[in-house]
Formats: sequence, structure tokens, C-alpha cells
Amino acid sequence: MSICPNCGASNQAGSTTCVQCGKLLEVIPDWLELLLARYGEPMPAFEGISVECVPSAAPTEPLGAQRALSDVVQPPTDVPPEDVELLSEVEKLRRSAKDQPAFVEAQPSEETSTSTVTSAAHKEIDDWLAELRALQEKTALNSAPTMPSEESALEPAQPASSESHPEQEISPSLELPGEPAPTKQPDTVPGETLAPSIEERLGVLVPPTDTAEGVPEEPAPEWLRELGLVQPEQPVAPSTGDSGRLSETLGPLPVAEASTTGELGESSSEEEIPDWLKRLIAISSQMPESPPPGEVAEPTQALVRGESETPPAAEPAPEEPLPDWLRELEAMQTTRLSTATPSEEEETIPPRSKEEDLTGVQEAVVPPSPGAEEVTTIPAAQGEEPSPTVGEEHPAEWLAELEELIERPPASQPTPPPAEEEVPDWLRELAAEKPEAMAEPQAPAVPEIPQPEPAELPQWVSQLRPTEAAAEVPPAEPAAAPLEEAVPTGGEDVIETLRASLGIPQVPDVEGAEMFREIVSEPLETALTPVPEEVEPTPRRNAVTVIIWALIFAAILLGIAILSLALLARVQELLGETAFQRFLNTPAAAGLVASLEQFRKPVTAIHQGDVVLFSIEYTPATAAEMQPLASVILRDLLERRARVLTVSLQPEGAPLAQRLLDEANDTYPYGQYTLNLGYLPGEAIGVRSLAYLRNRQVYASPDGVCQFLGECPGWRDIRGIEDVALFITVADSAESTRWWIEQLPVLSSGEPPMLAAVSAVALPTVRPYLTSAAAARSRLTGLIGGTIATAAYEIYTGKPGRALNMVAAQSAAHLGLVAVALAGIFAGIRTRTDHH
Amino acid sequence: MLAHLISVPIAIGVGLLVLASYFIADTRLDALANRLVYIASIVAAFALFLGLANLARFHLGRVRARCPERPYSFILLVALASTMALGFVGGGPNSRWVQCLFDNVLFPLQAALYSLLAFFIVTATYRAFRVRNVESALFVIFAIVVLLGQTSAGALLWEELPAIKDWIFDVPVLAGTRGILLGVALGTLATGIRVLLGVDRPYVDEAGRDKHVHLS
Amino acid sequence: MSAETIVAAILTFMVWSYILGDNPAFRIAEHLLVGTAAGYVAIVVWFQVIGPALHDMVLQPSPTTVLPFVLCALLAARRWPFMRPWAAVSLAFLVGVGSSLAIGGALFGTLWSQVLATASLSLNPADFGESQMFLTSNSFWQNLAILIGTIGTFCYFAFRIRPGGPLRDLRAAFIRFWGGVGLWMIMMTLGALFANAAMSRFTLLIDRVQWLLQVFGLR
Repeated sequence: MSICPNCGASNQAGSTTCVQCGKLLEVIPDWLELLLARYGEPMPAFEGISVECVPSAAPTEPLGAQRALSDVVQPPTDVPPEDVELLSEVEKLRRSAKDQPAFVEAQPSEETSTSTVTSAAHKEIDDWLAELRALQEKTALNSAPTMPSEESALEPAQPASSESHPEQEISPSLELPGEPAPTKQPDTVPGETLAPSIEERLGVLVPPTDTAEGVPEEPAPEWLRELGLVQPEQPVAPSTGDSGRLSETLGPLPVAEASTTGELGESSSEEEIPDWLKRLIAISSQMPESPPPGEVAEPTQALVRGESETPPAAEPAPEEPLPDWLRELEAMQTTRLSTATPSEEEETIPPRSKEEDLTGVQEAVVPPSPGAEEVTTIPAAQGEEPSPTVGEEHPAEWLAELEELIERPPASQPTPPPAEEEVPDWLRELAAEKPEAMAEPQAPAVPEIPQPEPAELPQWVSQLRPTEAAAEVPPAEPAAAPLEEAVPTGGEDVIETLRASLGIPQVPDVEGAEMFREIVSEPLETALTPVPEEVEPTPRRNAVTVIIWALIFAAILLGIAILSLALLARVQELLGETAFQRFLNTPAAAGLVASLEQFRKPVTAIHQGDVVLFSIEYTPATAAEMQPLASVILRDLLERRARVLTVSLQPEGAPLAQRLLDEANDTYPYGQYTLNLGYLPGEAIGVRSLAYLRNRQVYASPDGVCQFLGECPGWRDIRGIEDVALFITVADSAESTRWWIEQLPVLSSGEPPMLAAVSAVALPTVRPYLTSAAAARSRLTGLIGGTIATAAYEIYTGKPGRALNMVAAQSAAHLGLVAVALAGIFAGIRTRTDHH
Repeated sequence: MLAHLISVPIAIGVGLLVLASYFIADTRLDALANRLVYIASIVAAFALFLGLANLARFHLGRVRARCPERPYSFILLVALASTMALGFVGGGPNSRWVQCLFDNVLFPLQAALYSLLAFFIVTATYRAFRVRNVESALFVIFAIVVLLGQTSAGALLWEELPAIKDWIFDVPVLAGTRGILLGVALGTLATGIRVLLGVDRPYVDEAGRDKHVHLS
Repeated sequence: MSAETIVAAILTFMVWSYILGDNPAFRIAEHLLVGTAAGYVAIVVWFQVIGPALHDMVLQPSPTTVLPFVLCALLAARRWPFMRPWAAVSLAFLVGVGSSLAIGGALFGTLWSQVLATASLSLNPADFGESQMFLTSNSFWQNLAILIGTIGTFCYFAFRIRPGGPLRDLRAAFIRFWGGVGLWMIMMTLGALFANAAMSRFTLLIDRVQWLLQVFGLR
């Protein structure tokens, strides 16, 4: 959450404009946030200026000419209590900096409160800030930091920032590009006549403008160039007139600033590090040397962040005694560095979310007040000589540490608490008030990393987790172990931003990779475990089952035998031949009789000597059903003195046909009335091969001499298929019948009729060909099938045969099967009822 | 590859010639088609020989490999050889020994094998006649009606049963079988056309089958 | 009762032993059947087809008599891998002829006749007598039922509900209706077929039993 320095309204974090007054909210650059977070340094609370500073809230007067501490703007009414305390501390610091001429001079003569900011002040603030940005853009931030000599300007900033983040280390390596504020005063902003020039205030930020005019400039330190704060060999653009090019936020990223400052085109050859910055650097690098006088570390942070804030304060006076707060800071830093290990240094910063950082910072931030910015801002490091040596070494280390922080997130080691005697009261109190916002520093082992948003495993990773592990650990729970090495979620964005700004290649997701490796490296126990096949238990055929089935078999056979033997007179009377004959005379048998008459019609139309092609399309398997039918039809034909030629598309059909003809041989000699042409190979091809009927090989020579049809006496008049008067097929399957039905019309140009006598199985399938005869001139004109039809045919021809003997048994079998069917139906109903 | 290039045009050419005889009434075309058909019938009969040879080779391999079922394979081979010997030596299928073999071995074996189906139909009737929905109810009802209507016993139970059975065969069964025949005919047409167009080449061996051009 | 008859009876019981389960007797009978049938087929084919064709080729050599055996030789050479591609020539010949016969038969023998028969079903009321008499005519309603059943059965096999496409809902409803009608017709047909199959198989069993009775002199 950010507080508008103009109206004091709370705005959402990340918002750029105030929702109430519409003023632009400055955003702290991410790299600065990172630095501060790294070392536990909260955002300095500058009077009159919030963390997210509004340009319009910029002080109208240079920092160097800021009001005295006594004239510090009172904190606004809506400041939280802790902030009130910070403000009081700031006031104290200001008082101590009274002797800072630049600072004092920079102090406004009047105190203004937030509520009394006038529009003119706003405008002045805007102009001031714009100038500040212009200067900053024009002159690249020096890579050779110079510690501000005016430590007093940094004094107000120190306690505020320390209060807000007591646990955080003060960034020792905050390096501010800076140099003494230029002596030249810009005359662009009204209301600044009494204040040092913007250049002076920005002396620590920007190189002096006159450096481009011949003053030799020292080469920018490498660390500063790496930060992108300084563009090498680029002239410093004039400070005026480029305010419009300044970014809104005064360069959120050093790199961005470097790109913008590229327009300026002037490199900062001469870089001066303010004394206070040098001091900060010295503190961070653990150098025992005493910082140059006037160097203040804390203001350095503000200066780094201070593109959105007030310009640097007045030039720190050289050789100034260290303020108390700075001494405390040094002591803290010394203590911390002496106790912490190098690795711990990187891990001292408890991972906190960025929001927490900002929140914690902003809570300690003094609400903006127009007249207070000069107190808390960075003292202008004007006129200070840069210390290239210091600036080059310390920035490198600081940068190196920062890089290490990026590469290796801080471990879960807690930040060692500072010594009790070194922790200022305000810091202790602040820590006591907000224990929940900070990581537990006393946890020896794994710290409790407060994460508002615990890391959640991706769904695909969670699915890879073993079932037992998944049952134990909810997928939404963050993994505890990886958290030890986890990058703080709160600081991830900051780190990523800083990484991008520094041009450091992105670190691969080590956490995720390690987690994935753990998951996939788990033994595939479940996958490799052979799943026992669910073998259905084979039904044991025990003696009882065998006996039962044997009894059923015997019962069926016995029933058939009894019926066949006509032992049961009553059953015979009901179902026997006599009953069947009576049945045929009833209207119930009309359909059967009609089909039989339709079938016999062409047969009765046969004349003597007509050739009938009789195809036997069944095997011994179905001979029990088909043989009686074929026999009765053959007899019917022979009685008409027709000449019957038998053929078969089945290899076993030829001997069956021969058997059939042999049965009639007594009355109708074989070779005279009948002749077997045997087997026709190829199924449908065999039917078409009848085109060479005359050359067909006889199955059995009637006289032992003739081998072909055309050679046999009594058959030499047959030239071909066209001489056949009637086609009859006796088939046990519909397929063989269909071969004949389909191929015969092509074979014979005439229109001899065709009859089909099929088994009961094929009867329904062949029936459609019968009904189409009238419409499609199909050859099939008659169709009968089944034992019952055979029995009826036998009765009609007056020659009872085997079929008639089976009628009773057939009827009884049908009745028994219906009874079995009904039993099955009832069993199914009972089973379903039991289930329900 | 050359053989494949020859076989495909042969199949297509021969097929188109025979098919043309269905549409064109020409005596020479009919004669040519009949010759082709006659040649094909002989080749088809010879293919039966190859099938028998394959059967013999398979069971002979089982006997040599000493499989657990080699006694049965031995019996099969003995029966095969005996039958062929009786036929070739006896003078054909009409010889006395072959007829005896046919009447007393082949015929009763096949007849008994198919008569076993009656027992399985009884058990299948008991298990399959479960009325679960409308379709199964139709199946059961129609089966029972036809069973009773086929014989005189149904007429004894209800004199209208045979007439109902006739109506069933004349209307619903006719419609159903006609629809089935139409579908089968269309499928046969599609398959035959694919062969004549060279899309399907079932006569090509496994290596050449990969080079098919499937238009579907 | 002759020996052949006793052998036949024994073989019959060996086959019927399968009712009690798979057993060596049944296996023997089974393999005996296969061997005998295969041998018999070979005899019939040789004496009925191959023999006379060879005789014709020898006595009357011509393309018609020689070409079949050339193809037969190529077919027999399929056993050797290097000759396998050439065996495809014989198979191609067979497949070509068989396919053309199948096409012609299906087209003229089944498709044309069945479609014509279905289309010729009269639904003209005038064909059934005077006005309004067709309503009481069994033939009219039978024709209508046959027409609807035939179309429904064909639709059940031929069409599927496919997602997407224009008028998909209408198409799906159309197919569902006619498919449902076809399904009912099919179930009726299957019921009738089952009954007829049972009738046929019972006939086979009855015949065998009666034969056994006759063999044992009980009939």
C-alpha cells in the first residue's frame, strides 16, 4: 500500500496515481527495493514524501536549503502511531543536522503540513522533481560514488528507515552515484532561489554539468557502469530542458536510466562519491577505516531510491562528526558482519514478500509533507571528491553480494539478531509491534518463512506424486523441504526485476527441477509391480455337475426315443403323424400348404424328358434334415419322368447326391433318369462354370464308359445350360442358395424357374428372393424348408418318409424348448427381483 | 516388384472382362468370360490341394516336435493318408472302400457333431431368454411364437399361432432380412469395386501390402 | 448290425461324449473327422476337377487348358520365398474373377431385385378396393410395415450418428428414429431365426437318436 504524499490517501501497491487527488505516485525502483530488502533497510521515511513519492510532492526547495529540523513538518493526522514515532526521530535527526549549512539553508522557512500543501507547493514540488529528474537523466549517475559530505542531510532519513526495518541490515554497499552537488544553481524552478541548486542537491546523483566543459572527469567506476547508472563516454546533457525526458519514476532501473541517459550523451568522466556514501560502502565492505566525515550510509539508500524523492540534501560538510544514528548503524553493521558467516550474510534477509516489504516500509514511512523532504533526503554530496578506490572496491563487493543473492537465494538461516545493546529502541519497538511481519530471527533451524501465498505444486507435478504421498500430503500444501532452499516468493519479483536490470541471466527454476527429479526418480513400485491377473476361477466340473448333465442328456434322448417308438399313444395321438395330417387340413396350416403348393407348381409342370438341374448343397452334418427333403422332391420329379442332373458346390455333396440317386435307382435307373455331375469348384465360380455343362465330368459313370455328360447315352442332346427346364437347389445355408440365385440368370438366357428347398435356418433369409420374383422377374418361384414342410410334402406326395416320423418328436422338442425358455424368463425375473 | 506390377493389372483386367459380361450381351464376350471363369475354377480347386497340404504339414510338424497333442495329430495324418490312399488306389470317390469310409466314418461323425448343437441350444435358451428391455422382449416373444407356430403342437395350444407365425415371416422377418441383404449387397459391391480399382490388393504378399494406396 | 454300423455308433457316442466335457474320445473323433474329410475332399477334387483338366491339357492343349496349370504351378511355387511374388499372379487372377462375379451377383441378383421388390409394394389405396377400404386391408398395412421395416433395418446398418455438420440435430433424430425401427425389426428377425435354428438342430438330434434306435434294433 502506498500513501499519497499529497493528500495522504492510501493507494494500492503498484498504483501510479493517487485515487483521491490524482497525483502521480512514485514507485520505488525494484533494484532499490532489493537492496533495501537485502540488508533489511526499510524505505526511509522522509517527511513529506512517501515511499512512492509523487513528483508534485517534491520539495519546492532544494534539499540543501531545507528547513531546520525544528521546522520539520509535523506528521499528518492520519499517520499511524509508529510513523509518528518515526517522525519524531526524524525531527531529532534534523535538529542534529542544524549545523549543516546546506541542509539548514535548504530548510524551508515555513513548516508545512500535508494538509496545508497548496497547489503552488504542488507545482513547486513538481517542478523541483522534474528538474531533479532532468539532471539525473542528463548526467549519468556516476559510477564513482562519492559519499556525500553532508551527512546531516542524511540524518533524518536514517532513523526513519531504521525504524521501519530494524531487522534489515543497512545496506553497506549502497552506492550512489554521486558527486558533490554542483555549485551552479539552476534557475528553472521558482521558489528555489534560496535553496541550493538542483545540481547541488543532486550532486550525489548526477555529475556536475560543467564536467563536460573541460573539467576532467574521472572514469566511472566499473560497478556503477555495471549498474547502468553511467553511460561510458557519453556526454552529460545539460540539466535544463530535459525534464520532459525524465521517466516518471526517475529511472526505476539503473539500466533504464542508463538508456535514457544515453541521450544525454555524456559520460560521467568525473564521478564523485559523497562522503556519506563512502561511509556506507565502507560499512558494507566491513572495512575498519573510518568513513570520511559526513558520510552517511543511510542517506545513500534514500539517494539510490531518491529519484522519486526529494533531491539530495545539502552538501555534506566535510569532516563532520558522525551522527548518533550513523554510529549506531555502523555498530550494528559491524556486529552483524562479525557474527554472521559469509553465507549467512546472504541469508540474513528473511524472505518476505514484496508487499510486506513495501507495507513494512510504508508503515514506517513518514507521510509526505512538502516541507520535510529536505530533511530526509539525501544530503547533497556536492563538492566532495570522489573516492574512486573506495567506490570501485566496495561496489564490486556489494554487487558481488547482490549477485550472489540472486544466484543463491538466502537460505533458511535466520538473521542473527543484533546485539541487544546495539539495537536502537525504536527498532526494538518496531520489531515488537510487528513480529508477524518479519521472519523469525531466532529460529535456529528452518525459519518460518511467512509466505502469504504458499508455493503450490503444479497440477501435473502433483499428479506424478505417488498415491501414498499424495494421500498424506495435500497437493495444495507447499513442500516443506524445498522451502528451505526456496526463493522467497515475496522477493522473487524483486530479484527477477533486479536480475533483468543487471542483465544477469535468469536462474533456472532449481526448485521445480529438483522437485521434478525427486518425483520421477521415485521407484515405480506401482507401475512395476506385476498386477496379478484376475484369473476367473474355472468352474470345477465336479461329479454332481456331470451327473446332472448326463441326466438331462438321457432325458432328452429318452423322450425322443419314447416318442419315436410311439410308446405313448396319447402323445402320438396328439403330436404324431395323424395329428399332423389333421393339422394340414386345418386353416392353421394354410400358409404351409400355400407355400407347398407354390413350390410344387413348377414341379408338376415338368414334362417327361425335361432336364432338371438338381443341386445338392448340404453336407452329412445336415443330411438328417435335408436328405428327406431332397429325396421327396427327387421322387416327385422322377415320377414325372424328368431327367435329373445333380450337381453340388460342396465336395461332400457329390457323394450325398449319389446316395440319393442310388436310393431311387431301383425305380429310376441311374444314367437314364438321373446323372450325377459331381462337384463344381469355386462356389459362385462353379455356378458360372456350368456354361460348359456338356463337358462336365460325371461323378460316377453309369456304364463305366462315358466320362462326360455329352458322351453318356440318353444325355447327348443336352448342349448346355439353356436346355435345362427347371433349377432346384436343396441347400442347408442361404449363402449357397444365393450363389445360385445370383449367377443363374446370367448363365441362362432363357427364363426357366428356380425352386429352393432349404433348411429351417436358411428359410427366413431366402424368403426375400421369393417375394421379389413377381417384381424383379427373379428365378426363385418356390420356397419350402424345414422338417415340417418336408413332412407336409411327404403327405402330399403320398409317400411318408423320415420327416413324418420325426414330426411328433419335433413337436415335443419345441414344446420342451418353450418350457425351458419360460423357465429362463422366470429365472431372470427372479434374479432381478433378488438384486433389487 | 515386377510380379506385383503384373499381378495388379491381371486382377483388374480379368475382373473387368468378367464384369462386362453382366452388362454387355455379346457372345464373344460371354465366351471369353466363361473361359476365364473355367480357368479360375480349376485354380480354385487346386487351391484346395494347397490347403490340404498345409494342414498335413502343420500336423506333421506337431508330431515331429513331440507336442503333447501329437497323438491326435498322428491320428489325423493317418486318417488323411488312409482316405487318400483308398481313393487313389480304389479308383475314385465312388469306389467301394471310399464309399464305406464315407458312410460309416465321415457321415456319422459329422452328423453327431451337428446334433450336439441341440443340447447347446437348450442351455443357450435358458441363459439367453432374459427380458431386460423392449428389444430382448421382442426377441423372446417372437422366438416363442415361431417355435410354437412351426409345429402342430402350437395349433393345439392356439389355433391362431400358425397364422401369426406366417405373418411374422411375411412382414417383420421379411423386412429385416431384406434390409440385411441390402446392406450385405452394398458391402459386397464396395469390396469388389475396391479390388477392381486396385485399391485393395489381397493377393499381394505382406511386403507389397505396405505399398497399397488407400483411397479411403 | 454290421461292423461298419457298430463303428459308426461308437463314433457317434464318442462325439456325444463332449456333453460331459472335453475328453480324449472326443478329441480322437474330432481329429479323425478332420483327417477323413480332408482326404475325401482331396479325392473328389482330383477325380472331379484336376484329373479331367489334366486330361484335357494333354489331349487338347490350348490356352484354355494350359493356362490353368500354369497358374496352378505358380500358386504351388508360393512355398518358396523367391517365388512368392509370382504366386500373386495366380491369386490376382482368382481374386479378379471372384470379385467381378461377386459384384455382378450382388448388383443384379440381390440389390436390384430387392430394391425393386420393396419399391413395388403398393401403397396406393386404389389398389386395395374402393375408397377407405385400404384401411381395413391387411395387404396395405403389411406393405406399409414391410416398407418401414426394410428402410429402418437398412438405416440401422448403414448410417451412424456423426457429430457436427449441418442439420446435425435433424440428422441425428432421423437416424435415431429409423435406427430404432430397424433394431426392432432385427430383434424380431433374430428371434425367428433362433427358433428356426433350434428346430433344425433338433431335427438332427432326433434323426441321430432314431438311427441309433434302429441300429440297436429298437425301432
